[in-house]
Amino acid sequence: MSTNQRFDPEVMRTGARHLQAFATANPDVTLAVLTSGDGFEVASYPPNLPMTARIAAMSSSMQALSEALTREAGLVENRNLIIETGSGTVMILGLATTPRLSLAIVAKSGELLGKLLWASRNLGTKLEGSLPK
Amino acid sequence: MSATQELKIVFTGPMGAGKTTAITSVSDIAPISTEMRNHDQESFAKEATTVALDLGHIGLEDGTVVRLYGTPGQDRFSFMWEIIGRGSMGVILLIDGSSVNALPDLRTYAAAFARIAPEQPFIVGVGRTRADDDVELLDACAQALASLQLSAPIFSVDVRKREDVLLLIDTLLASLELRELDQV
Amino acid sequence: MVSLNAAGPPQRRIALIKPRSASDEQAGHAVQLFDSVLWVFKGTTRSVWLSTSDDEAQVIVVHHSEHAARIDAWRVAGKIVIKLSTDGAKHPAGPYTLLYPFPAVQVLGMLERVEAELEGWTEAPAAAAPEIIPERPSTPSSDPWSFVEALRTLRSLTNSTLWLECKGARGVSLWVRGDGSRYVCDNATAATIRAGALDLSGLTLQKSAPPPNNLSARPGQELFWFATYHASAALAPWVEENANYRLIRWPDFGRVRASDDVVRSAQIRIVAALASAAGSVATLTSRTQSPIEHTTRTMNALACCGLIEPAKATVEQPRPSSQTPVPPGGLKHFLRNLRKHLGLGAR
Repeated sequence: MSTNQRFDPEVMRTGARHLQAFATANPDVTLAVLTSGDGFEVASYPPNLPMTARIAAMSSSMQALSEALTREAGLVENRNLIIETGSGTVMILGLATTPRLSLAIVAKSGELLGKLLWASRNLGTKLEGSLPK
Repeated sequence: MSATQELKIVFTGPMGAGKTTAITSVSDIAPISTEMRNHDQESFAKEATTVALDLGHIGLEDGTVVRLYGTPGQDRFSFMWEIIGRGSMGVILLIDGSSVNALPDLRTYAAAFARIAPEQPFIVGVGRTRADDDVELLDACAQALASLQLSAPIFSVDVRKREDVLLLIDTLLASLELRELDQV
Repeated sequence: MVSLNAAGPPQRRIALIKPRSASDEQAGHAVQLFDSVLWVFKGTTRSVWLSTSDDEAQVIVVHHSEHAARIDAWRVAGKIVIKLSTDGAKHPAGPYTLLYPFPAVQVLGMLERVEAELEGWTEAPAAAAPEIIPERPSTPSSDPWSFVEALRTLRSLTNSTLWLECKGARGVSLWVRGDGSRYVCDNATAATIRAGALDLSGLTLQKSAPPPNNLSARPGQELFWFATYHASAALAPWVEENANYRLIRWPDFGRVRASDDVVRSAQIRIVAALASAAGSVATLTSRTQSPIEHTTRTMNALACCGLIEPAKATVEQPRPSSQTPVPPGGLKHFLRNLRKHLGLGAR
């Protein structure tokens, strides 16, 4: 099944639009991927990068593991997962959408972590507002 | 290699083959699951799919823990197979005998885990077989493995039955034990 | 078994004579059994055997109760006479006498002998002549291997369109497909076969109509396995005591699993030991610490199912070092604890 048939085209267009606006406003962001809970790419910016499919799958695995860990630890409302590296940051945020989606943001170093987190959460809020709940 | 208090057995195989069911039947506690809604209904008519891993637990009296890991079935999560499979005591591969992809799936997983966990015991459980055709199917499975220069026990099982899951584990344990004995 | 020449296999004419007395059931069964074997092995023997009247036949198959005068007349006419005996005391097995119930392999050996005589050979080709079994006791159940031998012979055939019914004194309803790949019976019979509670040694296979549709077909390996495993604690005639065997394939323990925990565990260990390295009955018993009876029965069943073969002497390859994580207390201690925790068979 191609991506086109798997998800509502309107969801894909809305997602792509928001991701492009986000990346334009945050130049250190190298990749933003909107991912289904089971690891399929819904939208991405820039589009059609070779690594996007794997990033989508991996970020869904990590989101699922972080939610499982949250439950095991007796905590609630898992928000985001942050991976800090020597050359950049990966941020994974779960969205309260129907179906469940998550957002993976890859930014090179130079982007302040706090700023990236704030911007990513704003993006998440916009997506939650635009997409079906 | 130093003694370790935690050991793992890996259950792998395609989506819907029964990995989560198998782990649940022998785990001391309800396994941790990372299932998400399945958007690929055309390929797999299942509501949910494992996207990271299943994790079950067997705790022995002396404090030794055996972790039962289930890998995600779909091959876009094959990066998890490498992570989970490394350092395992053995691998149990479950195949859906009623699927048209049974033999390709067997080859895919067998080849992957032969690379990830070489020299570790490898047991194949074929589910959803019928008494009137399982001989041909199991023969074909053996030939499929032979084409990869592999051989393994291949059993018809129903992982909804705990005794069948125990058969797979018992065979894995016996293979470990006799192999270690012969190395001494 | 079949030797072909440019003109095709030779044709031989054979007559099976009905017993004089219709009331002698065993006599009738003996002739039927011979006829069944001819049918089952049609196309696989050196010659093609055509059923004819006694006038035209080269070979006559007759019950021992036939008039001596008639038998002499056939011999004078140059015909070869094969006798089927149902009384081992008065008519023991011999070069041209088969003692009922006789396994298929004896019928085939007899046919080879007869062919040799018809061809004018001074002795039958060495590769084809099995030894003639000496006089057998008249009680069929004293030979534990007769039924299993018949099954083994079937396995070499590809006649999947034929069905054979197992006939015996106990009214067992059991059918086997001509290539041995399937068997049919009701659930109760299958359960008794699996449990070893059914004495199969007295059964013979005779061609029949297909089994009833209301019974399910089961994998032939089940019948082969359990019939052989339960036949005897002694080594089967086709397994050599001092030979090393290697494993070709594991049996499907999902189908032929023993109900007894200890037996099941022993079987798995014995096969696992074979998978790790070739061995004989003695070495496997030692390596697995199993009772020798378990090893013997398992080897018999493995051999009957074609899952082991004599190992060729090879230079032992260095084994790669084990990657198995080492549990505290050692692997043996760990495996014992894990088995105990899971409720697996104690050893």
